[in-house]
Parts: sequence; C-alpha cells; structure tokens
Amino acid sequence: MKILEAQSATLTNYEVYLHLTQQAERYERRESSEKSRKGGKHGRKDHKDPKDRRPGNLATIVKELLDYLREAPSPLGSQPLPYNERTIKNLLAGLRPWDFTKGEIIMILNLRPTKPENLNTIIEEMEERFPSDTTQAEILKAITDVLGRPDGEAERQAMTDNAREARKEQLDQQAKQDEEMEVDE
Amino acid sequence: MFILTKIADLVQITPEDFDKEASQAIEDNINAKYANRVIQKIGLCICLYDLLSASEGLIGHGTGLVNVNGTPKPYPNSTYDFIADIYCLLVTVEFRLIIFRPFKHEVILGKISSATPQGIRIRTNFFDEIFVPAERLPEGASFNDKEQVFTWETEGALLYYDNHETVRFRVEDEHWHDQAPTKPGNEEQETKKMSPFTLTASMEDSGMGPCLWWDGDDEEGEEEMEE
Repeated sequence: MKILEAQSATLTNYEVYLHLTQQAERYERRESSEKSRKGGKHGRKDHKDPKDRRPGNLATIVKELLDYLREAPSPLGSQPLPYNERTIKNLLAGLRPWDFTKGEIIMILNLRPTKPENLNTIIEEMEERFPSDTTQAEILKAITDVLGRPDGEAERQAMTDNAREARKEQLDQQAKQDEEMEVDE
Repeated sequence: MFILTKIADLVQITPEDFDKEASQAIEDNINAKYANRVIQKIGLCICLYDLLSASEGLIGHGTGLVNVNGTPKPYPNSTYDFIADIYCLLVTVEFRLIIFRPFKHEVILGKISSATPQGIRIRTNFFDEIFVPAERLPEGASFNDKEQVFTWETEGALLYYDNHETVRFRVEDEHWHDQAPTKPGNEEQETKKMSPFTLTASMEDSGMGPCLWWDGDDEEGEEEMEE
C-alpha cells in the first residue's frame, strides 16, 4: 500500500450518503442478477453465492454510517430530502456575499443551521465578523432558501425517543445479565 | 467529516473471482481489505470511492497465464477448480477511498455513551472513540457522583448530560496509536491496547452539548431534558 495523496478532496455528508445508497443498490442488483444466472445453471433458484455478497466489514460500516447520517437532527434524516444535485452549487451562490471558509461551508451543508445559536457554533468569531443581527438573519435566510427548515418538533421527538429507547435497551440488557448471574450462582 | 485519499496498492484476484467483472473483483478486494479499518495518520476507511487506474494483470506464484487487457476470462468450472490453488492475478491499482477524518474544529453530532469524573465519552454509530475532558465542558459543569453523569448549572437551572443524549461537539485533537505487532516477550505492553484512532473534543462554547437544549423553537425543549 502506498499513500499517493493523503487528502485529495473533501466530501460533504450528502455526497457520502449518495455514494453509499448507490453502492447498496448496485450490490442488490448484482446479487439478484447473479442469483438468476447461477440459479439457472445449477437449477437452484434461490441459490445465493456468498461470493456475490459484499464483504462483511463493508456491510457493517455502511449500515452504521447510513444509520448515523439518517438520524435526527441530521438534515439527511428529514423528509423530503433537502438535498439534490444542485444544492451545493445553489448554496455556494447564495452565500457568495459573505466570506466563509471551506470548512464553514461544509459544516453549513452538513448541519443546516437555521438559528443564530447554531450558526454561532459553526462560524468562527461570528460576533466580530458578522456583528449585526440583520447580517446573521440574511445568512440564515440564504441557508434556509436552499436547504429548507427542519421540522423542529419532529426532530426533538425523534431525539428524545432515540435516547429513551437506547436507555431501555441498556436496562433490559443489564436485567438480563443480572438474571443470568443469579442463575449461575 | 469525510475526505478522499488517493492510494496505490497491489490487488490479488484469486480464481474464484475470475467470473466477476474485473472492476467488480477489484472493488470487492479493496473493500474487503480497507472498509472499517484505520490507516495511521489517515483516518477510518469507509469504502472505495472510485478506481483511477489499473495495470495489466500479472500472474502470481511465478507461473503462466498472462492476462493482457485486465479482464480475466471466466473458466469452465472443471478447469477452474483445478487451477484454483495455483494461480492468482496481481493487479496494481490506483484508487480513492472515502475516509472518516473530521478536520480540526469541525462541529459534528454524536451521542453520550458514558461519563466519568475525567470527562464524557461520545460515540457515533460507526465510531466510538471520542472523549470530552471535564475541563472542556462549559463553566458550571460538574460530575454528579450519584447519577454518574455530568450536570451543568446555568442561570439557576440544572441541566443533565444524560447518557444516550444526542450532542453537538467540536473536534479539537486527534490521536494515533500504531498497533503494529511488537516483539514477543513484551507482554506488559500488550495489556495496554489503545484504539488506533481517537478524538478529543470540546463542548464548552454556547450551542454545544445536548441538541435538545438549543434546538427548541422556544423554551419548551427544556422540560424534556430532566428524567
């Protein structure tokens, strides 16, 4: 293995998401076409060759990453999807009046800040660079014009539910472990 | 959060993969080798992004069967079982991988997995090694021994950094621990196995920490936190 270029480009979450979903579709198509091809040859219709499946480590990371990208409050989790192939270009055009770094643009695309508090975490030294409230409101408007607005209520609900479910799962697991320990004794 | 890294590597295609398209066989091979693995000083590999070039195939193990145009031909099953142990195809490929490597000061989302007096551990679905030291929490934060969580006292209200809460944090530092095998006999070193890639983060700025604190349209979000 030889690293030719440690960082040849930066990707936004949406681009990674697109790549992963397209890859999953491709594997699915291939599995089903290979299945019918090989099934025909050997006369076994539901025969699935493990060689046609994607490698296990790939399946794991892709599933985990897609789960992560789709989880509230990530904009990729909202319906309908706020991104399309023109989003990045449109957002760059919308934010042209102000001077943002590349990292800031990427974070705006990934996190979709729609309130001054959220913008403040992303933009370094916002109070000095964009002191006026009207400027901040204009920036936020440029963002929501392209990326839309999150359904705040649904997002909060999803976050609360996720946390509650995870807590319950943990408790269940603990209870199960305790039970097993008792049996052992 | 994600970057592309350009890599050159020698890919070995074994005969059982000869009936796949060459590009597919190469892709599977690269993914099997790199996906979900950490490369030191590069980051956590997600998967192949694109193939840039591939050399003509060379036959491994020093024998016959040269592949000219890089498209291995399928073999009838009978012959191919026989060749299986002897040959494999070696191809030098240049490709780009999608890598998880947040840049310094990037703000990302994660979930609290646990807390100790030293700080809060955060994970994402695919990456577990994020740590926020206690001194990188906002002023007024302290560890609650009884509940084993951090709390933040602000403007008279007591807020909890509960486990599993979705939080926003800023990446401050990355740490690499090379896990290359050491000489046998150094057993005491092996007990201290560190994750190959860990991140240190901060949540001290306003807007950081549990998203529920900040993302409410009004004040109502705050009641849900406690429980």
